[in-house]
Amino acid sequence: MRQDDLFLTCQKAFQERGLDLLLGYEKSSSGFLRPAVFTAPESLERISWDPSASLNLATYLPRFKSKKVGILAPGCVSRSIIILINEGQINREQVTIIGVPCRGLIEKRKLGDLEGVRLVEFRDVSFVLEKENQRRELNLEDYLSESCLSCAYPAPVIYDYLIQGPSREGSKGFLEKRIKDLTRLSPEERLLYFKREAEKCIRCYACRQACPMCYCESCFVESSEPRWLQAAPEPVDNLIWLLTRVYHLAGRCVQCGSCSRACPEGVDLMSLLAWANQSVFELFQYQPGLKIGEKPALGEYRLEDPDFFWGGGQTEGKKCCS
Amino acid sequence: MLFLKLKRENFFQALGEFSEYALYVPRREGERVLLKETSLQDLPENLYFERTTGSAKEILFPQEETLFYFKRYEPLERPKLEDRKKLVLGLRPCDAHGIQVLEDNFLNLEPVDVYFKRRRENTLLVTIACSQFEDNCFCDSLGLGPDRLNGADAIIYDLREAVGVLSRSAILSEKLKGYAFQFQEVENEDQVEKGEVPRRDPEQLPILSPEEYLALISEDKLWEKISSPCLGCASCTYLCPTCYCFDLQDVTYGPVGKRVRTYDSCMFGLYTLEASGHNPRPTLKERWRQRFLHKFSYIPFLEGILGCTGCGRCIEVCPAGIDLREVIKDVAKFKR
Amino acid sequence: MWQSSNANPYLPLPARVERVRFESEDRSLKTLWISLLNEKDRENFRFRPGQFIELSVPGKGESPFGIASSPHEELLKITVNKTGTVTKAIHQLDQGDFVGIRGPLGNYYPIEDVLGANLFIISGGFAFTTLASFTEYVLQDWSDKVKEIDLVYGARTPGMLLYKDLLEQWRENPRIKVHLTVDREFPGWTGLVGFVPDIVARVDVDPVNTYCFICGPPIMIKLTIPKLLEKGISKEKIYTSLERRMKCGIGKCGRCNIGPKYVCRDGPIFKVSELEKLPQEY
Repeated sequence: MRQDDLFLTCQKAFQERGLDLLLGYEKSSSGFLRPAVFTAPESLERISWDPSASLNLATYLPRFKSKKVGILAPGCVSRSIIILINEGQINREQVTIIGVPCRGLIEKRKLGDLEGVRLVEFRDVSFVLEKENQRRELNLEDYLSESCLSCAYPAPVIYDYLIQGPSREGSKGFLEKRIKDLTRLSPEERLLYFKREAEKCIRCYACRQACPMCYCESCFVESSEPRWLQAAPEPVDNLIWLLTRVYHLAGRCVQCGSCSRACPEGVDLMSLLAWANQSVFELFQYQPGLKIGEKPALGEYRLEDPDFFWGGGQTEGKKCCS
Repeated sequence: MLFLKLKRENFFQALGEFSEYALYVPRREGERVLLKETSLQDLPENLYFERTTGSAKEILFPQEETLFYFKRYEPLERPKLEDRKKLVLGLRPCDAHGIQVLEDNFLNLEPVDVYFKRRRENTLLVTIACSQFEDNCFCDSLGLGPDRLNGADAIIYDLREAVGVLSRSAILSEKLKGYAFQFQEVENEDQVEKGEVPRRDPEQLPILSPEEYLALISEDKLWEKISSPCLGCASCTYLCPTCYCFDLQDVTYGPVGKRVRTYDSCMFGLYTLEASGHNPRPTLKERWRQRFLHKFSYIPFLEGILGCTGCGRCIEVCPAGIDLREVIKDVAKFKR
Repeated sequence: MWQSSNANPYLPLPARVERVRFESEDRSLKTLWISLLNEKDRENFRFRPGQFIELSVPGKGESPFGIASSPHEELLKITVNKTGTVTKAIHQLDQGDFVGIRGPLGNYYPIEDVLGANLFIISGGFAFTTLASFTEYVLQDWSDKVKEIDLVYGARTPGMLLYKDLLEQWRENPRIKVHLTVDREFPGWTGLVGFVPDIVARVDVDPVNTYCFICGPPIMIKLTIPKLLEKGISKEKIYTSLERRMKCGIGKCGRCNIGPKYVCRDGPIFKVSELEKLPQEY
């Protein structure tokens, strides 16, 4: 993908569509990308896109309900946008999607100590870091986010403008290896694993804020009547938080990994989300964010939905619990 | 203050004098570095410790603290105070600066917070001068430094074969004296031998006076620009060494219960939401203004020290990539 | 202003509800009279009008309430509007129930600073509590040391006016001019009709030697202050009592600050001239 291609297309979008603002990324002082809101075409010279981006930009969209917004979108972001449209949070007409190719996003945690490190450039299959005037070339595939390694839709599925460039090959999409490893554990071992993860959680809600699908004006954790969980990060309450969020996202999560990259403590959020998505796929043949006009799987009832209790619908070859 | 010099082996022997104190040091656990209880034998010889992921405020001001127990609807309360003695070794000067800000709020402003006071009395905080900089840290850009004593009870300097200890705690000084080969009273911490402390050419960040910052409260465009990428999570506040805002909640287990103090964050909408539905800080613009001015204007006003330690954790952890150094520069540009 | 026989500022003093009364016909406003259980606490609890207490219903939580009784009364009087978890629990309390009290907290209306002047007391809705205490206190102890006293107090409907017994007493009292108002016409209401800021504009006061004390919902304060300034009253002479979500009530949890000032510790009473330099966060 060429930077000048990106710049020119975004400029064109700004003018042709009469945008109020454009959501994209810019380079920080260390060379890694960070989200940026561009309010004027002149500021677009800072716009950039490469595998060091981290946040799913669609999470900003519900803020700009009444504005004309442009947004850079690789596959996962474009799917998030479709879900937001399907759930009535934004209108198709107000958003201008600038599709970008995606080779995957880096998991910064895998890079270890980043003190004094500057990201120099991305090459075809590698990237270059510099520290104290010494350069290191690293293999891109080794440092990608888990979500990206098993991403099913790297290229944008919907767009108004498309930037040319190579994207990853899509794979199945449900973190197969991780889920297989977890299924091999006994239920007690699995519970222990998730309890340990829950102990790391500090309830900062960065995962919730980084997720485009968590747009509730008042999250269930803020409810005082009834109070579902206490504010203190007791492991049990943390587990309730994590599990309930998974349930609220089942069949709505595109596994962009934004939550996992946002978590300051490195809690394993992806396993359960992938598992929930896989279950929804098996039960309802549904994957979110692929078609405008679709209703969310858990928000709609169809006659063929498998009913394990009364025995209706298509239960052939399906299990209600995996 | 007392400055002592001890041979390395003698320093470890001296630590043995603190057997009634539980020893806490930063230890890596997977992707995080946490303050964990350890034994004397497991201490690294080079006294190098990684910086903790969260700040060290946890040891004096834990994320969850039970204030007292009660029986529902009965005036029976039992306060719960922490009595365990702890020796915390291996923190950084930025953590100690954060502790100073907390001490000012909990101890020096009436009324005294008895829970914090009891923990502080029972804890000895020994920091170690940084031997390397951390990702995004910028204490020297704020006029602070990686070798300052700040609010710690003592700081340790690496003097090659020996360790230098600058102590302002009577307990530490007394016990260490017997193992030191040299010690003297000093007035100023800059007079002591500090060994090799890393230096770089830091960009000096423009810090305005508290009044100058307060004059910028109505600059809406400034605060909107700064807060526009902000997601409104609490990552920065929970990991920040100087953030001390807390929430009080009653938790019941049938007929008995407890009142618990937990961390809270000014970035949450619920923080200032009143029962009537009115919210004096309705958007992230006002909340970011509060966060920034609290650290750079209100705390300096009330306590005379900067409310930011320059540790850089907020920059490292922010999912939206907001860089506090750039915010400081942006704000200074608006100075009238 | 922390004075308590309790060294632990977070620990409530045990107290008991002695009497309850509903103020409004829709039962959304309930007045409670509370006594401290320990004699030592009763002796040490000395407050001035303007201050507030944090009332605990153990198991539900704690909320701040302005003290509505005058310092001479034996029992502490507060009025509670039913809006959230804690206030709902308070509404279920009855005579004999146990509660916890922390206080007195905050600063107080500085009567000593306004001697020899006229007083203009303005309030709306159920925020009238601390000003009711102040009015009683002035009439009881300082009546000969201040000049004219005007009270403007408004509510949505006549039923929502608090302390109707006190209002009646004051109406008979020649020392004070009481202007009561409701938002709209109401059958049987013979008093004024109109919003508090408009009524305030119509009251004649000496702009040079009058001190104003306002306590009400944020919108009422925001609209009333300009009317007072229009009369020529100086910002230095307008005191307002602010409200904020509070938790610790002692200036530690960081929540209720407006700039470097804490509403629970440096307030809730501020002069308008002080508030000008601070963020408009109230």
